[in-house]
Amino acid sequence: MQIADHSLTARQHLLVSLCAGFAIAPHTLHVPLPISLFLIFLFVWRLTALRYPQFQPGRWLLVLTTLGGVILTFSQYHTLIGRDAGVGLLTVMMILKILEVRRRQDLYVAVFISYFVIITHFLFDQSMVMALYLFSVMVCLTALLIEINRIKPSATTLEPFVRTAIITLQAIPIAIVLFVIFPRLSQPLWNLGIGSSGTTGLSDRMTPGQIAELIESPEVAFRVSFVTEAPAAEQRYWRGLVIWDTDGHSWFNRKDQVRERHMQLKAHGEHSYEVFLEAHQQRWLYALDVPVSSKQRFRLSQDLILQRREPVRQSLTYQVRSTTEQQNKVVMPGMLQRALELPDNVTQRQFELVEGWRANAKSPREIVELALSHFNKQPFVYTLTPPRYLDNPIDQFLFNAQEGFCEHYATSFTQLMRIAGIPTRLVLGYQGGEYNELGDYFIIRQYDAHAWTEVWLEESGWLRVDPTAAVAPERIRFQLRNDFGTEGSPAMFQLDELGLVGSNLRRFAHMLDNANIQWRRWIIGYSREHQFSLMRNFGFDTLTPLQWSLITIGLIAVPLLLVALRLVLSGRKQPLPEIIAYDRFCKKLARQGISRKTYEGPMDYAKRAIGERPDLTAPISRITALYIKVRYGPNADKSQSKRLLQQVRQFRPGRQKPGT
Amino acid sequence: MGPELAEAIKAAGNILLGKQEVVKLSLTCLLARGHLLIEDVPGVGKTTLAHTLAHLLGLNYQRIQFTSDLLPSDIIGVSVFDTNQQNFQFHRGPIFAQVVLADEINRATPKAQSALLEAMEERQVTTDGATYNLPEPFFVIATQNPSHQVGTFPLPESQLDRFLMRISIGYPGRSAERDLLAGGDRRAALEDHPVVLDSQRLSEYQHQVAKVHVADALIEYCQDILAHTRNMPDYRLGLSPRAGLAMLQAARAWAFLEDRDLVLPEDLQAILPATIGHRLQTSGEKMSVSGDGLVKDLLNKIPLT
Repeated sequence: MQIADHSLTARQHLLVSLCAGFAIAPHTLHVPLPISLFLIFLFVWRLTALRYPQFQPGRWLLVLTTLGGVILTFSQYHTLIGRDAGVGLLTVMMILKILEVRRRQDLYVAVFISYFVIITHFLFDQSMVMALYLFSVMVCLTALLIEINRIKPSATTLEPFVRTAIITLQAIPIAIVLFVIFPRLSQPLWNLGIGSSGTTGLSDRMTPGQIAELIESPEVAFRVSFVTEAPAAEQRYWRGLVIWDTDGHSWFNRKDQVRERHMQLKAHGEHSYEVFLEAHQQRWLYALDVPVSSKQRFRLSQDLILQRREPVRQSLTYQVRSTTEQQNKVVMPGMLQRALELPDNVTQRQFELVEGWRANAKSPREIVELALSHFNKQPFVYTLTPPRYLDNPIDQFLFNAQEGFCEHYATSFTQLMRIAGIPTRLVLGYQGGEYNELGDYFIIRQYDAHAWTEVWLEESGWLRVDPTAAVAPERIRFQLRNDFGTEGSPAMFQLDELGLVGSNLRRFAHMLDNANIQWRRWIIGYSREHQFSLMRNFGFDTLTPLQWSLITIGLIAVPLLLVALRLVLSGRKQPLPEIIAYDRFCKKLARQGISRKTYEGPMDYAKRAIGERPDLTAPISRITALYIKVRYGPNADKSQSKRLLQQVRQFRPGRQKPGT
Repeated sequence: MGPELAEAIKAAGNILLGKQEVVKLSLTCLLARGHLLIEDVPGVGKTTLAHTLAHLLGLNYQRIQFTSDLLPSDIIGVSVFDTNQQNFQFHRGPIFAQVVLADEINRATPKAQSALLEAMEERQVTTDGATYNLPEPFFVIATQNPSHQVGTFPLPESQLDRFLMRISIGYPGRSAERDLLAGGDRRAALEDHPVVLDSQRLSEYQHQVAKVHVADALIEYCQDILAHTRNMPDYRLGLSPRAGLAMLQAARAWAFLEDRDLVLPEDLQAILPATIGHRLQTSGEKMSVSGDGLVKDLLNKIPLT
């Protein structure tokens, strides 16, 4: 049955505008500001026009606005293709579509574009919260679609939602099957451009003061879930990268010095764990000091850094084995020389300080201990707000201010050891981490960033030395507190002194974080590799992805098609031959300008047709009479419908013109 | 159609000038064994129509003027104690006639209305434990004033449903009215006209009407109409199955008057305004539309295949 009524009620107009608005809303956060403002302006315009119809734009104004939207998008992105520009254009067009919704058809278009817009959000954000939000928008859109398609309005607001729930439940098995077995792209779809989600973490060039800035950020760097027993806090050094070279101000790795080689450590790592790394746009991966092997076969460089070929542009999950007891004796030609290089700005008093230690020490190990006790006994202050050392920072820190953060201690210590002739290198990474007892994993945040050193001792190989621990051992055992105090004030540490409210808040935060990580782990993290291993378990690994895709599509599409076919066929009967014949007759007359009205009976139609074309009286009367007899009369047989068909075939109203 | 019926329509058309269509519909209603409700303002010929039909078809005729103090016994009759025979004798009321004109039915109280309507439905009267059959054929023509007039008790939907058709006569056209005004007494002209039919022949015709063929295709169309009124929000209440039966019955009678032994969609469409106009109630803004306009609107929305 055709629905002749194309108009929409005011309520439906409002609902579709709101739903589409909700579908677009998250995009306003990352499209450029002018486009956001444009979107909000048009949305407000729409709501105003719904209340006061005189503000509804006319056709020309709409065309102009559309043009303006395209130009605006182009001016912001300088292109209209690609992820960002494409989404920008899509949102602009979407909001324009809402503005011009008038009839039922427009509403369908608006709802279906909204569905598409919902999908595009996942190109930017795959978090659970976003998924839940988009799911609820999807439910509202579907309920609206159901409500619009009803002949009578629903009795309650709940009714379309109940129906949506039923449809959704019916779709869930298909969605699960598709999710599990439909072939994945090797790269997720959302990796179309440079991910904007990358947070600034550690970089491969360190200037003192840099980490101190980093520790203001509570953003998560990565999470670690231990399979084996977790090491104690003072053992949780998360190795990121090793830095060798300095110019007396910054620390970095000279490109020409990088000679990486794939390492294979023989040792058996006693710590096995999984790391959920956030995108940090760098190639190194964090691992417990020191990593031995990874399941993903990442490279292990000669300075025992886990590395990937490409920068980590989206969150990454990997499994590593590490050992905390490994005696790390890996040394390559030229490595020790590099670990002794000094910048040009080493001052005389630095040499003198080191000379003092050398005179009193019998072995390099004692020099190291003397250096550490120097940091301990001198009035050094561990502070989160160190003064800015502009010129020769190490010298200023050691002899003038004596206030610094881990990076100051680590760099100074490295330089002093190098003066003493002990090969030393700087290690950047994180230290500690907050334990989430709900999910049994550690959260390592940016403010856990840390710098320490490794010294080469003949008898023990590379040995981790953390000069910060000598000054502020609490740093290693407790969390830093986020109140910074005035410049140079000693850092405060977070002991377990949270009140009832505080501990509950933390518990809640942990719960949220846990839910998020499980989502990431099982939903977002379900990768091609996971899928392959699942397939292997079922013995399907001999199939190529293409074969596999075809089989999956077939498995889902064929039953669906059968169901659809059944639904269609049950609703439609094969038309009777006399109806086909009569339809043809009507069409022939319609071509002569006499078309049958939808409700017009055969007699009335024949009368009208004869009135207009008296020359056709005989055939029209004959056909109509026969049709009436076959269709509406008693005891009609097949030969009569055949005769009707024949007569209609012979009926050629175009041959004779009226009046001839 | 027998020649008598054509003659009757022609003769009635001469009495009720310019109202050929109304006469034909009334006759359709009679042939379909239904009752007729005429809704119109006073003075357009409601009583004349009833009287004409009764006279031409050779049926006896009674008229009941409905007033607010009319009692059920005034319609169906009353038992009176006969002192000679020492028992109650039932004195038949005016309802015991082949054509009953219930004039201004909506002026009576619901109690009196329902007495009439029960008799219409059952075609019999039960009083004091005894049942009396009403004559055959039995045809009630009720008239009512438009319900917005003062002092009326509008018939409830359930009772309106008892009438096969509801028609209105309307003012005559200008030329017809001139003939009417210029001509002589219509009543006298009627008395002069010979009776064209008797109740025997009428019953035969009624039997023939029942035999007019209704094809499946037509039933489908009828069902489309019913379904449409039930599904669309334009109507407060959809048509009942009884309305569907009434539509087909009336269409048969119309086809019979059109001299056909099968029902065409045109027949159904012709009787539709009169048959469902009083059974359908629109909702919302279409409240004011009635009868013809409503049905035209309805038919436009239901394609005939």
